[in-house]
Amino acid sequence: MILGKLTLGETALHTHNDSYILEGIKAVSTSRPFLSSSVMVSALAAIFGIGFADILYVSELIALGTAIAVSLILGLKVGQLRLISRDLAGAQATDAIYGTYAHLNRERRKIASAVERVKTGGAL
Amino acid sequence: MSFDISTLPFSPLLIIVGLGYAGISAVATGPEIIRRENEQAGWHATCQLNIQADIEATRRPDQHIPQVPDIGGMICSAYPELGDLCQIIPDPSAAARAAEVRARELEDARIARATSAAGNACACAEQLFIENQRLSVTLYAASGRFLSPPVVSNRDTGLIRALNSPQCQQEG
Repeated sequence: MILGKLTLGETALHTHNDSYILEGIKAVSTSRPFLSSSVMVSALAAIFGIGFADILYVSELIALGTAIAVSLILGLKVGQLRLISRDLAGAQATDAIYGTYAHLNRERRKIASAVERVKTGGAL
Repeated sequence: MSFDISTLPFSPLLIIVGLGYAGISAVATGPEIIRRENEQAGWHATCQLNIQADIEATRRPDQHIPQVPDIGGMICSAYPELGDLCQIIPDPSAAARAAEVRARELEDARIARATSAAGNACACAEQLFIENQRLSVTLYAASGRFLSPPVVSNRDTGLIRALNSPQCQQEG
């Protein structure tokens, strides 16, 4: 799943807002931008839940467990695709493409192959 | 001097999460944890009993009514036919006894009023303690009892001090 739109053309990559010429892309990176935060949220919720388990109601413990699970799942699942532009001296060109990490990672390989193909003049 | 948050070695989201957790601990979970622990420790019941005992200690002692012979009553019991006569001779202690009964009723009402407000005073003390020790309460709740400042672990002293404060004395 991708939030927004990501279309790979022959010479350009089109998102819902921008189009990037493949020739200018230096690197394509996929990351899990919320993983550290979600681990922190889960750790804090776990510390709280374990620390005060004796005075929390069962419903509250269940809610905490659910929050921990949802937070971890979101942190692991949500991904971000970043394109690094050669023209911008390594500066990040966009960070607007969010989606599931697995899907974006597959797209990353396709984009990288397309960039390589464009740069080698379609020799691959 | 400008500060670029993107140059931090960790995600700025971590700061937001940390601040959010601290805020929730200070405003919501910390006070609730203290209330539940106090409830579990039976502090409310002890507090109310202590207040009631203190109030009872201020009860006005019963007045001793001197035993004056009721001549009229004695005549009536010995000679019922002299009923008219004994009505004329009044019981000299009757007025004092009635006044004492009235005074006891008023005292009971005062004690009952003061005792019913004991719950408010205890709740006030708890709230005041939480407000005065907000940072310690936040640390205690946020760390899941890992950090237990002395003022929180020995909170009875702080609660009694709060109970005796002018704000809570007005409640009681």
